[in-house]
Amino acid sequence: MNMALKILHSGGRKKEKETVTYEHDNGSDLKQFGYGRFPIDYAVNFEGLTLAVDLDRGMYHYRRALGDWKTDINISVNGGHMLIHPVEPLNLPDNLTDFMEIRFDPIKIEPSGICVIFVTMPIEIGVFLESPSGSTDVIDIVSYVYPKYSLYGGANRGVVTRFNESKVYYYPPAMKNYEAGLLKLEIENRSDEWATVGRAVIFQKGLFLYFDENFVAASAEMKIISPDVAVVTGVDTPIRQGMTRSNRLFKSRKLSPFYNVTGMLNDTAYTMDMGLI
Amino acid sequence: MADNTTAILVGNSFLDTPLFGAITYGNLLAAILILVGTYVVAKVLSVIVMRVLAGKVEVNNSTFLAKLVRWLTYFVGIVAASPFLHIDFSGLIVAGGILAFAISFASQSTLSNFVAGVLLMFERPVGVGDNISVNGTEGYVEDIGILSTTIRTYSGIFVRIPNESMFTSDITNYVAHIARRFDYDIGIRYSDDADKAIKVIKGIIEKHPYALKNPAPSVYVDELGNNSINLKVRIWAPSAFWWDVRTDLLWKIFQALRKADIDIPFPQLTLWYGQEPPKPAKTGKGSGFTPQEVLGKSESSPENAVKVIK
Repeated sequence: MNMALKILHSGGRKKEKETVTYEHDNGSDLKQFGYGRFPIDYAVNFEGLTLAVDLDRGMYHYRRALGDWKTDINISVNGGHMLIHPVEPLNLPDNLTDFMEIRFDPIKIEPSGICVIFVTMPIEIGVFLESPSGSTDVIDIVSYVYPKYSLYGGANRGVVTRFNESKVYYYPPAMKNYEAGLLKLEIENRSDEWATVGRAVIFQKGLFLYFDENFVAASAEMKIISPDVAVVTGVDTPIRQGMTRSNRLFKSRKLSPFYNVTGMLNDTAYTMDMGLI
Repeated sequence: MADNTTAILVGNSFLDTPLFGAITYGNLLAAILILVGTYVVAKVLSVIVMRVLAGKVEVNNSTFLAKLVRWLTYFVGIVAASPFLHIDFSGLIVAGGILAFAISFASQSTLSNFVAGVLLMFERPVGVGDNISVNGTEGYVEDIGILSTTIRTYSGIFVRIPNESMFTSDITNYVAHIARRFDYDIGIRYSDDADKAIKVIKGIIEKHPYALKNPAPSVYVDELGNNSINLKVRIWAPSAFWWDVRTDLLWKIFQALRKADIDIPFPQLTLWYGQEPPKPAKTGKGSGFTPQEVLGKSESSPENAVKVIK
């Protein structure tokens, strides 16, 4: 089923904000996972994932299984809620890196050109508990996606990244919202030369995930400074109206006024200075 | 203009006015200014030292160095201010110099360890928690002190290495870089399909999360050995996990190869008894083999290997 999706973006040579209406596949044929905020004794049975919280003699008991992968946690809380939100794919099997790398078919961009693409990224499912006072903490993270790591740059000064390959889309494709999310990437070539971009490395703090019944999505901007250097910055806005912001696993700190001297750097930015393809 | 000149002359004459003996107000003022300046400079320098060393060395060590810098600055300031107060440190300095010479002679190794410790803090070839090898000692760096560095070996033994020895030794830091490569040499039978084996091995590597996608692993025929086709497998992994990946993958590769009916051959030796080699037999087993047949069919089979030797 196709439906119109209004997405804010800018396009063309001149950067002028405009609203573009994309035709997109709503993915109604796909069975989608239900993210959200639920009573604490919520239970899920979805595509091999079973998750439940039982109350036993005053103590809550959290049980989760996905295939052979099981977790059992005792919880002492006086009521509250369970939040099941998509989280950035940087936690499993170990919190090894703060960077996610997405490789895609290279795109050549003219000097001063701007383009908006959509790429897919893996996601993980975070289970949070919210106490009656409103304090939240993550109790479990699970994923349907098998992780793979890579190295951006050399071994001496590069960074280990969570690796993902994606096709390039110019409209939001239908996808299973429990396996993959969508990254809207606005690429702006600020250099005077043609640039070729075939990957984006995004800092964990720059991943602001939003979700609704069909999509898990994040936005980022890539500003190309030279054919080999670009700054990738997370954008804390949903790609369409009505999306809910995911609970974050850490809190972003306030920026020092001296930090953003260039107007491009902030604590959600990463400078890709070891190549763009 | 004339009034200004008078004021300066009056000012100068005030500063030249004796306060105690030969000490004038000007001398006192200069000494106070130097001491206050010294105090400020010492404070600033100690803060700079703390900030420069923050995260690079243990807090105890950085505090110690900051205090050392502060007291050295105080000493320099006092020495600089002393002539204005007509205090003669020359005798004291000579005596102190002799004392310092004697102390430094007596504690030569201690001082060299101290200097080496300071240099190590700035050069930072190792950090706390790093996996290193120095002077044949391998283990994790527990602490980098002013005088010595302590290492916990893989078997949990505490080893203290004087910083001078650390500084002058070849240090191998296994985790200084974010990723590292390790190799396997895997032999397969001559009868096996090397392309298939390479595909199987690459498939197993691809499934392992910590076997890095980039730099890409390489698997290739490295050598046609006496008993086997030797494959070289080169894999990059995050330095923090490389040993786990190495131990995990080797067994998985072996299992996958065996599942694909690719085996690792036994070493073989074919003996000829000074007579014509037996003619090739069409029936195969039990009636004699050519070397080609042996290599091509049955080198992994112990009983056939025995037949060959017979």
